Amino acid sequence: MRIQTVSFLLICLFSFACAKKERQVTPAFYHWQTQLQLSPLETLYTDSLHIEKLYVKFFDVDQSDDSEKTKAVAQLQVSHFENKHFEIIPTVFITNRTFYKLEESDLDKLAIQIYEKIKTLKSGFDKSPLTEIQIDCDWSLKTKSKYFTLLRLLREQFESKKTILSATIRLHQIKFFEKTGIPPIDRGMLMFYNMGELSSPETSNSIIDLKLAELYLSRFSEYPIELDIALPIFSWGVLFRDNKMIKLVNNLEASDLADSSRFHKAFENQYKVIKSTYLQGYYLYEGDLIRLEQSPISVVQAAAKKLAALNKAEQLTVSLYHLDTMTLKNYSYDQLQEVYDQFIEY
Amino acid sequence: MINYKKCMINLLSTKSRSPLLVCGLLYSIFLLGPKDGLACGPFYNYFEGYSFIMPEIFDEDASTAPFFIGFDDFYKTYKGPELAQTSGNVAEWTETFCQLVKQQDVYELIYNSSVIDLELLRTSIRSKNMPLDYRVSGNSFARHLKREKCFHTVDYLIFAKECEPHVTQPESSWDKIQRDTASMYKLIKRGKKEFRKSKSNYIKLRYAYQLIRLAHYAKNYRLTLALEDELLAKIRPVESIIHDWIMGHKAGALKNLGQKTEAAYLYSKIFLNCPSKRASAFRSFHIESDEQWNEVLLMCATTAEQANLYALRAQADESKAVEEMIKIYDLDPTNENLEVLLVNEIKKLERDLLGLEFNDKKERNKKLFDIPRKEVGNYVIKLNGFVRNLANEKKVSRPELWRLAEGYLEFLSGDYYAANKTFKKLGPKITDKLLKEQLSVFQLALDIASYEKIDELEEAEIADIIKKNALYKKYKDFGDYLNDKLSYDYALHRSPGKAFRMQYNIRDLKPNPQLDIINDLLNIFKKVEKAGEEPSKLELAFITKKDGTTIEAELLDMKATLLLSEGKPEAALEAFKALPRDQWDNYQFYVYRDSLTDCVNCKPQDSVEYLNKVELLEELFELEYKARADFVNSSQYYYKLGIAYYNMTYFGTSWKTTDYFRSGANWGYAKLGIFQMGGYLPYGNKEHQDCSKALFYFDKAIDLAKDQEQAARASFMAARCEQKRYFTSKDCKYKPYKNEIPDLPEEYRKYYDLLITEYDHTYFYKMAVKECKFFEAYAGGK
Repeated sequence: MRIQTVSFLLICLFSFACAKKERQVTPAFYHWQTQLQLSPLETLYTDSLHIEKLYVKFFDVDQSDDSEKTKAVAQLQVSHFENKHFEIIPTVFITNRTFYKLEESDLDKLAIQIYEKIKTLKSGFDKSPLTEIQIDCDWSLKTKSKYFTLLRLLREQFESKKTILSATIRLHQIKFFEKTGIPPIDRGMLMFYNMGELSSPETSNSIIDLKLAELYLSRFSEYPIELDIALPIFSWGVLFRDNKMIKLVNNLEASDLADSSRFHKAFENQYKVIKSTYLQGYYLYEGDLIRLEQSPISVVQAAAKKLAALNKAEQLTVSLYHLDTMTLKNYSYDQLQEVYDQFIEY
Repeated sequence: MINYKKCMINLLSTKSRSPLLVCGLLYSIFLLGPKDGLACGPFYNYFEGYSFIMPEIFDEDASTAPFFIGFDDFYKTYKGPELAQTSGNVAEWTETFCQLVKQQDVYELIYNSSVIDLELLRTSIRSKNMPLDYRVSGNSFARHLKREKCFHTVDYLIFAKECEPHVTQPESSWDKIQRDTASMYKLIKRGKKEFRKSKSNYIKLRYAYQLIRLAHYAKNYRLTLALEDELLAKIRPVESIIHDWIMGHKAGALKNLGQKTEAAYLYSKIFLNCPSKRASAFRSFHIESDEQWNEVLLMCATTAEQANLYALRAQADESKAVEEMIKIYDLDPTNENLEVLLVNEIKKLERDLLGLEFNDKKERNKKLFDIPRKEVGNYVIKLNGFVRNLANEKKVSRPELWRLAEGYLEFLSGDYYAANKTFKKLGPKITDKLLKEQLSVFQLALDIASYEKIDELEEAEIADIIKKNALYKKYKDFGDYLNDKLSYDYALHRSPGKAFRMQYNIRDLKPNPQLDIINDLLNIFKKVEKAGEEPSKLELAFITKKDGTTIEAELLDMKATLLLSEGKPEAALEAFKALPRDQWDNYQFYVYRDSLTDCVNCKPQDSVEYLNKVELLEELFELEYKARADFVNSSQYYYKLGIAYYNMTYFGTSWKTTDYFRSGANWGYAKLGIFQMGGYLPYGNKEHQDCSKALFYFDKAIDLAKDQEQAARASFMAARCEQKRYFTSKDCKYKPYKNEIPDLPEEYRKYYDLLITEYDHTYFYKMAVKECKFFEAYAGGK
């Protein structure tokens, strides 16, 4: 009897210890186009998936030849946008080369310019409080110091203490964080895509490759900042001319390359142009090669499962890149819902 | 300034040689091309190669030429779409007023006046008594408007000024865009009234433009098209660039309304006809599919318009324009864009192929720009086939240009024989002056590339090219081209000294002297001195400095210094002794500073005796002899030798005996011995950090020491040599500039341990502990 009791208690204890916990997952999308005007399909998906956050790219910051040294380009244009239920998170992409010409003394001004521009653009279509600002920059060792200073100065601009500052983090920045540095932010957004060498003809899929990702994830739990997760749902064609990568053709699908009078499928995802032709606004020459890269839902879901187990945060934003009618056509609600749901238990 | 007199005196007394010629050669060889070091600070990577095609070779009147040709050249003169539009606008206003007004005044009044300034002008025009405001009283345009009472024109200028904030970008991309749709519609309403009121067709046209532009910027694309329909129908034909500007807004509206084929066609027309809108039309021209392309082709009214479409497509980045050139030729063999595209393609191929074998920046070009492009060989063959056809068929405007291009493409593809034959055959047939010059330039480039082994005859020929050939001087790339070619050939045929001098100044060798280069250059002197042969003009240029003196003394000193740094004092002495005796004292040293601490810049006491290098080496030999012969004092002699050799390294006060250039920064990352110095020194900077010779003597001094104090002192110095060996080892993590105690691994502590265990009772040991912080730490840790 005693043995039975002890066994029962042990089983209970073991079950408790192994029980999966649940966490709060905030489903989100990235919006990366210049025109903010959701199509009916985009609205349908954001409604059905109960999207709570929309990371909207407000503008890019790039270097400039004029006295200002920097410029805000590809600024968001908004028409007929009605925000029903999600938070708008202003996102700013800063090119790494922006920092080349900047002195430390220029950063204060740039931080003010970025913050003021965000406020101006946001107030034009969304009156809700600014809860988060996200900065996207693939910084290098040479620009790290200036980028981190800019982040610090940007946060100093925030009028509300409730506004958080987040930034995108690439996979290699997790594995080598001692070297690449930890940005001074509240949360990171792990970009779980664009992980392969795009310009190499040998790469099979530069968007998402779980085997490759494994090499970078070993130190995920050591990363000192809580990480949200961004997963890809996009496709593109990588165009090679004379073995040199020259262009990306966005939203390319296999069906676009199905015309056998113009394209010959050379390998699994590689197509040869056999007759010079236009393809989605690009003129291709005979002999060009296209590597079709996609984000297969099975791979995205497997990535979600893997990352859900690694990520121990009690609250988590999971964002899909990106909200676009052409992209959404390739995925059902259920498939995308399953991606978000993978993260609930951990 | 070049000292011609000295040239004459010093150039080996060659009577027949013109001093001017030699100094000119020096100037030509060494001052051409950006071979000197780059300054610190931001710099941009740019492709480094050559080009011999003349931008003026195609038809100067080709409308698209300034846009297509050499984006580098284009951007030098092109100031952006706004400026192109401004200058077109100002020119037209000036023309409208029959050139009675100055262009600068038109510009000032239109672009630098405010609404208030213009309203003042209008009041002045309407008033009999009110003079022009003092700010415009000297402006010929304002004066003309007042004199002729052109208040309708001023009304229009005021209206245009009011439209401006809504239709232009703010000066800074960080500023808020001032566009206000409600105000824009009010302006459209008001503008329509003014349009109706105006009696001048020209002013009506300008009002129409402003209204159409406002509608476009308000994103009311249907209104844009409606206004264009409505207003233009009410204007009698008037010649103006405004029609093209209006067409641009119409194209934009059509594009936004999904009528992309019509939009693309209009953009192509603007591109062809309107220089002030060419850049923006090029950016906006977009074809989505083959079907759309065919539809646009069908919309073209003429074959010239169709050919223009192909020319536009050929301008995309990474295009393979020969495909478009074939189409253009089929449509319109005399189309001006054919020549423009030909020159453009040749310029690209020059980057890939011209001097590919010998360009000293070829590895850098490959790494940074992936040049030459892969498969470029096939492309040049394809282009040349097409070019040859055109030259043969003679349907193009200037068949001789195409034949010339054929020869040049043969040259670029490496077929020198065929190229030479084509050039020679073509020569007598060319009458056009520019083409004649172009042929001569290509021929010169071919001649230089054709040199195989540079002997005296070739050297004389090359010297003549440098000195006398007018084209060589006119085309700036020849200098670098020739230097690279000869440098490559000299290196290939084992003349490293000459190869070096084709590219660099002798001072660039000093941070890391190379014995083969020095000896090769010294051979030129030997040839003169021993065999009595005269150096060629080029050789003379290699061994002569700008002031007319020779580099012999520098070479000998460099050789001796190098040998000394390599631990070969006997050979070094021989080299020093070859220097004229009166130059020995140019170099004075004191090498016996004996101190517990390192100090590279410390000056010895005034009382010490300085030695020149010959005296120094002779003294070192004497010390060595005494150390072997005088057994009683041998330890002291060996110790003194050790001190001398230690001080002659990177870490000592007399480092200048074995080196010319020392960088303090190299201390911190002294791992490989040679420091690339950002790539601006051909062989980098080699620091003489090897203390092994000094250690050898200190070791001997320990072994032969007759007293404990002497052994302790020698042990300490030996330990310092070991410590420096650690600092310069690959696994050293210690940063000297951090002022920390270096944590020496076991294998580098032999002599410190010896000092601590065997000589801790000596006076020297106590003094070392007191004076030397890290030794104190080592001793304490024991």
